[in-house]
Amino acid sequence: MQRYVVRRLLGALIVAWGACTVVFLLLRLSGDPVSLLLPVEASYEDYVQLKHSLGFDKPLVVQYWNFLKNAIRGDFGMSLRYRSPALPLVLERLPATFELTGFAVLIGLAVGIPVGVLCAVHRGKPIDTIGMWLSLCGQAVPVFWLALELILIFAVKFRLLPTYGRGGLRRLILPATAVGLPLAAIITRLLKSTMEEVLSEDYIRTANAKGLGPSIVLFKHALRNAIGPVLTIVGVQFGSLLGGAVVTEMVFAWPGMGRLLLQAVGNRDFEVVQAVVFVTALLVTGANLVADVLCAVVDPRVRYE
Amino acid sequence: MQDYNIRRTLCVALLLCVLVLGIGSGSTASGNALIVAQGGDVTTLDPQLQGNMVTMNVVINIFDTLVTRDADMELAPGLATSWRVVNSTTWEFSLRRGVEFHNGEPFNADSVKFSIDRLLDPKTNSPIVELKTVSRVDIVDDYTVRIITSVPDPLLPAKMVLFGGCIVPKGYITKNGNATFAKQPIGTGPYKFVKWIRDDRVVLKANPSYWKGKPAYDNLEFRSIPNSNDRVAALLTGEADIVANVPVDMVPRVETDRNCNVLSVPGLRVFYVGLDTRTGPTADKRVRQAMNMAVDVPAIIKNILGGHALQIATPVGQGMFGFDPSIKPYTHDPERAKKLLAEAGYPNGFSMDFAHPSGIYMKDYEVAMAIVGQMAKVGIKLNPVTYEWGVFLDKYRMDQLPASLLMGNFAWTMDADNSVNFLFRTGQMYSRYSNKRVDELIDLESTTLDAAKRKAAFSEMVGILHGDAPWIFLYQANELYGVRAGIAWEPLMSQVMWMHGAHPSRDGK
Repeated sequence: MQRYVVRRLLGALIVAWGACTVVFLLLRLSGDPVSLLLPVEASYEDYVQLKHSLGFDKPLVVQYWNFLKNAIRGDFGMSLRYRSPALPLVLERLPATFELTGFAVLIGLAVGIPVGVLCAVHRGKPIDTIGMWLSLCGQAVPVFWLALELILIFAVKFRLLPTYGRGGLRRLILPATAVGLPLAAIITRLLKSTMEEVLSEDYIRTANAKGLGPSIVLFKHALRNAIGPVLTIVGVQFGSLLGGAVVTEMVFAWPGMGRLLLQAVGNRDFEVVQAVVFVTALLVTGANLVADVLCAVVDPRVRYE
Repeated sequence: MQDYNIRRTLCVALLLCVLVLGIGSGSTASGNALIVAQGGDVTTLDPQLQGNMVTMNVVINIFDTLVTRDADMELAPGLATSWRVVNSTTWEFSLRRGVEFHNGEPFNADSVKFSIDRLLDPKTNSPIVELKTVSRVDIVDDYTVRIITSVPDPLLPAKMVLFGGCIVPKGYITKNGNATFAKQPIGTGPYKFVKWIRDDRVVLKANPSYWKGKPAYDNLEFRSIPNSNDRVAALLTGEADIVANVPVDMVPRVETDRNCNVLSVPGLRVFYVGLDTRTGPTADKRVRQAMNMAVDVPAIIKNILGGHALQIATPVGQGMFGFDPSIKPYTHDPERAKKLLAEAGYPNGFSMDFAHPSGIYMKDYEVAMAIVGQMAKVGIKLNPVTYEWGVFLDKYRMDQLPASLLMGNFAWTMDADNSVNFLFRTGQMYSRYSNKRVDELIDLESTTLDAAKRKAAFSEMVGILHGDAPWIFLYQANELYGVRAGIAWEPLMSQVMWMHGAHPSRDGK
């Protein structure tokens, strides 16, 4: 298990390096940020001078080498727009994004697990059909639309919750719901199918035959065995969860990493984009690892070598 | 053992819950606070390291500029009480006495010299380029400075109104360094800096000893809400008092709310379709004039922009120095347009590419599509192409955009020079036009310090440009602000959100 974790951690670093390289090249293919930094009345000389002082006139290989050399030391360069080091800019926004995605996962689990179990238990009954339809909608609805509808209904119409910003639980509920509901939909569908499978297993029949109460059979014997794939899917979905957070952070003016990324792409703030991609790559591979380890913890049949 | 595992997982989940719940307990601004929401966050609080209006809107409330503009948009005293021309390359500014920075440091000639020197120092890497005509600053006495320019610069006082004119504290920056200054700025302005939470808010508090008088609100917060629908929602629920850039579609919604008003102010951004006068069909003046007649600008303003724009006749819009009201816009006349096209040898029209931004300016895509439709009616087929904004600007700079392009020009100095100099002078980076007389007039206006002569030069110049039609002249778009009832605030045409004069009022809606 330990060797497995170490190997996976090394893999995570390689993934992060690869992602950074791809992004480095893609960004430079898109041009340089000099035009966006200068006011329109700047002359061609201003343009050449700024390009030179920012180092964008150097050969690509030299730029890449400098990037790697500094990145190894944890230096991702200066943000061109914010005029301050890029990595701290990203790291200082991480707590906000964790708060949002963490709460979204909780909402996803809190909604997805009960609904999934209900649907599996009442297989083929109206409750199952309704649950499946709702989860289909949940997966199909675009996050930005859901986010705006939540604002219009709960903030503007009924004045129950604030419309924007971060600080306190009340400001967290709407954005976390927007990110969490699509996850809940996925969990519902997945758990329903694995639960149905597990419920037809021999050991469940045995448990029932032993005379155990239905809730003990359901939650201790069935759910416990069906929950593994759910944990995996939460880990795998972590990437798209961050993706959903990008959109949601923009709509709810949530000061997180996703919003920083979107603005940095728009401004061609290369250093910030690279730092975000590096951190995200580590997070996503890390989340997958945590999910795999958790699986082994919850389900003793799973072992890694 | 396994039960224990599950219980442990549950415990961790519960702990997470509690942690999340415990973060802050919701913060609302206390009593006498004004909350202003705009679409972005400041990029830095060092006024000399920025060049965008979102940052300027915040910075202008912490810092003062040498020169300001009054309600009629005329140049007015700021930290400089008066200024005069000494000779063609020397401006003298007399400075206000008794002004202190927020840390008690006195404002004097030394502060001005330090500020401008710092801005021009290549090591500062400032994106502010407009002071490049300045060669040095001489201190005459404690409250008089002379700014020496390499060439005559008639716009110097106008350039001292915004980005280049902010005065920064010498002692504070020398002692604490640039990085600290950018995070904990000290200025002479109406509000003092309290805190900045990135992408969330900048909190300011009133400067009780401000030289123009203490502001009416004790606290001023700038919030950053990128999504315009959410920004308006915040206004409607009262979570923001003033919001910038209300989308045109949302104006009726705000106006029908009994607690909110919309303020629509003529803007400084002039929109046009730039035509390549060097090659192709648009090299013919008659074709360019025909295109001006083919577009129904009043209909675009009425139907797409909700009436929140003014049609323009020349590159110089209303409110700018050099505006000539005697020149009237082209009238919509498709029949005459067709005749002109036939005269020019295009009885069946022609086809060309048409570049336009999308999602950058108010309704840019819709306006572009309307133009395409109206052109089709006179036989001109425009093929719309759009680029990501950075690519658009790159191509614009490198002269790689198609023969027609939709663009907006921000005349922030409020002087016509800002519009004509780099857009029409032969050989300038953005110029796709050449006219000897216009070049002469630009040379004249950009080097003469005599206002009357400049005005005459502009009048002649915009007359020529109107006839030559290197653009399809469209409109200057209004700025739209949403304001809660009970707040009196006059937005400035210069578009900078100066909040000193904002005060509570009893007038409802």
